[in-house]
Amino acid sequence: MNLFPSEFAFGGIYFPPLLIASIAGLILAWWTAQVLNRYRLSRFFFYPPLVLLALAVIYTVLVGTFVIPS
Amino acid sequence: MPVKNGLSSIIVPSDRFKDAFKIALAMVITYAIALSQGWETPFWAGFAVVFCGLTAVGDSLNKGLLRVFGTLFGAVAGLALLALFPQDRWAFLIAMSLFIAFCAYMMGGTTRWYFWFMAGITVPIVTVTGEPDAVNNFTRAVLRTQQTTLGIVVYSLVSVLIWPASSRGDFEGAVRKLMGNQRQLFARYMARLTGAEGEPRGEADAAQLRGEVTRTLGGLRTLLDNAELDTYEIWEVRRAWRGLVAQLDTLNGTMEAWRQTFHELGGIDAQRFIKSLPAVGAELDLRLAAIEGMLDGQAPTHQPVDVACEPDRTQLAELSHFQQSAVLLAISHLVELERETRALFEAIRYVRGFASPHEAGPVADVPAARALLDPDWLIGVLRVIAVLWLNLLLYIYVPDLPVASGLVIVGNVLAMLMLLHPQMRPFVLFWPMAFGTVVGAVAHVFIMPHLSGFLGLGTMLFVTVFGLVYLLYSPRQILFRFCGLAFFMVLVSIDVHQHYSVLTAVNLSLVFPMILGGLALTGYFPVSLRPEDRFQAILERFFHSSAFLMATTGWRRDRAPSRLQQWRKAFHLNEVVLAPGKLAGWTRTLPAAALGSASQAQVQDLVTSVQALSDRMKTLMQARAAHQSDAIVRELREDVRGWRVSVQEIFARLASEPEAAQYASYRSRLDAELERLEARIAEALDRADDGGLSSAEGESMYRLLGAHRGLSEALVEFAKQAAAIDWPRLREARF
Repeated sequence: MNLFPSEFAFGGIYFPPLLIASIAGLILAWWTAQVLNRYRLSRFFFYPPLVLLALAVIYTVLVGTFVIPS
Repeated sequence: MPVKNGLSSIIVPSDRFKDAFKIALAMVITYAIALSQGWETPFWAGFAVVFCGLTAVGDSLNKGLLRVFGTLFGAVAGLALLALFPQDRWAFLIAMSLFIAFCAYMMGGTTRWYFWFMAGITVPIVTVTGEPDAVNNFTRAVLRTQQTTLGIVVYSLVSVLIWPASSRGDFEGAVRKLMGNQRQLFARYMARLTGAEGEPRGEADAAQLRGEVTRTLGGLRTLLDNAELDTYEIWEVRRAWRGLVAQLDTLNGTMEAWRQTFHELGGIDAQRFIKSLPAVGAELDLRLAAIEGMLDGQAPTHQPVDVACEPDRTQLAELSHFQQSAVLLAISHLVELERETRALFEAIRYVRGFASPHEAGPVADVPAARALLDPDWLIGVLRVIAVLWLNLLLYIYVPDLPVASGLVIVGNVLAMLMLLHPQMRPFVLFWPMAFGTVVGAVAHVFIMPHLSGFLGLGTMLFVTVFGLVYLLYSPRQILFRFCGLAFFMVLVSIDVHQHYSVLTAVNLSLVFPMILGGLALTGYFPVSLRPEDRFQAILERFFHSSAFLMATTGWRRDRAPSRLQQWRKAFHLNEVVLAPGKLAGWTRTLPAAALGSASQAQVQDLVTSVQALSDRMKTLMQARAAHQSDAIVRELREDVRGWRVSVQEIFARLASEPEAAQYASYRSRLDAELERLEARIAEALDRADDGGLSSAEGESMYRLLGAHRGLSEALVEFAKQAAAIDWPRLREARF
């Protein structure tokens, strides 16, 4: 299995896959944080901003590995 | 008449038109000179025009001089750092960070913050843009200083020659407005004290007047700095004007302290116990009116006369000891007001030229000592350094990062600016930046390639700059105006050797989200700058400092405190004085989720009660400093100690648990304590009278007791307001 994601081309401009994955990771982490805030679940975390950062990293790795095509 | 008005509005242009015209013209001249002399990066000169192009000549000159000297200082410091650490990257970066941290720290508590700001942002500009060839560093430093000076000189000449506007009117208008507001407040407070009928407006209006006074006072020193530079009459007596601004500050403090005593006076008919109250009120009102008249250019029609503000001791003896203390405290503030308004009258008579030429001028301002360490300012400095290092590490370790030097430079500029507005969210800058990028990109890609000479280039510059300033003139649009103009100049890339590339716009538009991301990240790490976190932290420090100050009232009078003790006391007093203003700033940005069941108004009320506590603490410290009778101190030592320890414990507990404030419990405890002390004071006075207690000592003791009581009452009021706050929600962790 090839785990290296391929580059994205928009209008002839190539974008690195990590850029796309990290943007997607940030958006997903932000959305998760909003949901957790909405249901007041954030109070169970010691320091939510750190959790947000961790979520962004986890989502970036997941998107980069499983979503972006090889 | 309408025709005439219509014509005059066309012939006499508005301030908006004048400012836009002057900035646009100065910009064209600046670029013409820079390009004709072959000086590279002329947009630096353009920046100086844009950021220092203000309406009045003095405003522009003041900001311009600060920009030039700040740039010069930063450039020299940058070159010195490069020379000191030529081959050691990390030592250089650490030294540069320390210099920037120093500049950022020095920005606090001065009207000349712009000098330090410019010095702090110039070092990375000089050191980073010159890379990779170190020879460029010197050229960059010289060029930056040269271009900045060019911009300032050109704009200053344009503003002096075309529609010159003096800063004097703004400054004198502000002083006039301030005196008018103080006079209104004084009349209102006197009416309240004498129980006079017919007060037309309520407490809300008084609060609004107080707010206006605070705002005007806050900007007065900067206005004076500006007026000194373009008005010789102000420059000639500048020291007296500075002293006068300090006097206005003191007068405001005394008015506030006086107002705070009204609560303790309660239902007491003050006029019965201070027979001269109407005469004092009338004299002070006449004095304030004469001051207003002098500020309007009229010779004083009234000269200050002596009015004694003494209590009627026979009547006063009918009151309880605590009521007597409240009356005496109010009198002492009135006496201070009398003294301060007299000094103010003399100072204004002197600066407006109504004094005899042989008369000595008023005492000039003694420069205030710098504010002691302010933890909130230090947190801001820490953020500046965090942003700097985040961007430096990206610059060093991420290969081919687009416009990496811009990331370091602009990131540092914005972080230092946000030091002044810590409540500002970084993403507020997103749309102004996007707007600026679009304006610059359109000009660079679609207009610039069609221009063949300076006539076309100058026309484009004039039209764009004029349009942006004219259309975005409102202070609400200042971010759009500055971002629009700055990005336009950077992106059009006008230079001696002109080049065109769409990549400039694309790269910049990629860098700006990264800068905003860095700023957003440092809003959480290493110290959280979220409103709810700052609010709680400031409140906690306020109570810790209050507890410390209460402890100092127990220090022995016969032994002078050590230097360290004096420093700690000054630090904590500074904390207590500054905390309400900081809390008010953060309150406005508290999110709805953090407020929970409480409303913004309830949090504002809580901050008002903290302000009262702060004022009472200041009064207590002043009253404590006065001489006290040894006999009375000995007699009441244990009782006052018990009270002090009890208040100190409450403060210490409130620091960690503000919700622990129980209104009913505090009220009953305070009432019981007052009753017990009342009896003890009576006994102590009986015994002290035998030993010969002077009236000055008696009054001093009453003032101290009044200050203690005032503080306790303010604490009870805080407890009342604290009950309305949803503390669990405020404290709840959220993303």
